[in-house]
Amino acid sequence: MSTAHIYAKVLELADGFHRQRAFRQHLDIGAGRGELIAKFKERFQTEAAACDYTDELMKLPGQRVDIADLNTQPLPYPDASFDLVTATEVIEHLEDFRRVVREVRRVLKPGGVCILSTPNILNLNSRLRFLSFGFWNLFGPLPVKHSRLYSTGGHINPCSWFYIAHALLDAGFAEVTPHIDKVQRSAIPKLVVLWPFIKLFGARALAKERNRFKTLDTANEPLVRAMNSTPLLLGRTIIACAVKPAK
Amino acid sequence: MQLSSKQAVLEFLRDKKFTTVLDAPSGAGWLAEGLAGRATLDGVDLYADAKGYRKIWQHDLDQPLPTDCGAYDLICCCEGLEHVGNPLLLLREFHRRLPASGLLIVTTPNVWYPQARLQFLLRGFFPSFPPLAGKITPGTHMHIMPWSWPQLYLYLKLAGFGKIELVPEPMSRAKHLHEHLLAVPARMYCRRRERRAETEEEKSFWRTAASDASLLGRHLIVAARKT
Repeated sequence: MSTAHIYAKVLELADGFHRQRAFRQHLDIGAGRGELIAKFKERFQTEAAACDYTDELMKLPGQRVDIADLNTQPLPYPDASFDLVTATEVIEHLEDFRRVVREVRRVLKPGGVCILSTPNILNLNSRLRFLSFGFWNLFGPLPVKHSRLYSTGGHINPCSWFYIAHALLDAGFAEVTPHIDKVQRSAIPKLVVLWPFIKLFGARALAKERNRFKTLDTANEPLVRAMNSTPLLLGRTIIACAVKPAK
Repeated sequence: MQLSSKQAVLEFLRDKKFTTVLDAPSGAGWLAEGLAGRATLDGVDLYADAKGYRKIWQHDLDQPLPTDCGAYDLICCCEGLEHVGNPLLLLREFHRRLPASGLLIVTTPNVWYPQARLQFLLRGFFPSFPPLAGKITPGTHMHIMPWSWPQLYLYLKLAGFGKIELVPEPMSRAKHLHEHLLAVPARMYCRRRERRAETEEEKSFWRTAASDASLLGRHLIVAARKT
C-alpha cells in the first residue's frame, strides 16, 4: 500500500525529469483512490489515465479507471501514449512483473519515464527477519489462508533491486536508478553493528564474482554494488526510475 | 542438477505408476536415462538436443506450452522454475496437461538453508543466483526466481495443485554446526505456527516448513497432485 512518503519521493523524482522534459500524459497503474494522480495534476498539470483491477476504489471525481487484470491482460492503451508511467506498490502483487514492465515500455513515448515502487527486501530489518524466520518484511507467510491478492496479504512477488533493474534493462529501458522513500530508523543500529561484516563479505563476494566466476561487467557491476549500498540497507521502500531511450 | 537430487527424484518415482511423462525443461536428458523403459517421455527445452525422448519441443517455458503438446500422467520440472519470469503461467500449464490426480514434480535450489540466508544478509544475493546482466545466452544459468518451501507451496496452490509434499533429499544436509544453529529460530517459529494452526492443512504446511528438508536442504524436491 502506498504511503505519503512514497508519493512525496515519486513526486520529487518526477520533478527532476519534468525540468528536463515537461510531461503531459501520465498513466498511473494500480491507481487506487487516485491520490497520486491528484498530486501530479496539481504539481505538473498532467492529463491522467488510471489503470487498476477495479474502479470501485477511485475517489477522484470524473476520473475514469481503465480496468485490466495485469496478470492476464495487456495495458489497455496504444503504443507510445504516455510521457510518464507510475506504478507504486504494484509489482509485488503481480504474477509476471517482467511482462508488465515490457508493457510499460510499450505504452511510453520515446524519452518517457517509468517510476516503480515496491517494498525493499534488502533493508536490514528485512534481511534479518529473513535470516531468522525465512520471511521478508511485508512478505509474510500467505499460503494456506491468503484470499485477497490485492491486499498486503497478496504480496506474492518479493523482488530485490537487482532483479527489478534487470527486468527494466531487459525490457529496453536505460538510466535505471534506485531510490528509497525513507530511512527506517530501526535499521540504523543494526547497520552500525553489521557494517564491517557486510563490507568485508560484500567485497570478498564481489571479487569472487569478478575474478573467479566472471559474472560482472561494466553493465551489471553498479547494480550489484547498489545491493549493499547504505540507502538500500536502510530504505523502507525501493523506488526505481528508468527512461525509455529516445531512439 | 546435483546427483543426490536426481537419485531422490528417481527413488520417489520408483513405486509410482505412469506411462506418459513430460520433462520440462529436459536439459541434457538425465530423466530419460533414469526412467528408460518405464514410460514414454516427451521433453520441452530452450535447447532441444537431448536423447531418449519421443519428441522434444524447442520452446521457451515463459510461454504457454506448445499447442501440440499432449496430456501426461507425470510432469517433471527439474531445475526450471528458477529460470522463468512467469512461474505461475508454467505451473498452470502443467496443471492443464495433467489428468485428475496427475503428479507434478518440481525441483529447484532452496534459498531457505542457513548458508543462503546468511549470504542474503551479507550481500543481498542467494547462492547460485549470480548477478548476470543482459540477455540470456546458451549455457548461462540465469536464476531469477528464488524459491523456498512456503513460496513454492503458495504458487502450487495458486495454480490449482493439492497434496503438496516435500521430498527429503538425504544427501543434501547441513554440513556445519553453525548451519544447524542458524536454523533454530526458523524451526522454532514454524513449530509455534504449527501449534497455533487451525486446520490440518495448515499444520501440515508448518510441520513441513520446520523439517530438515525445508530448513537445511540445498535443493527442494516437491511433489503435488492435480486437484
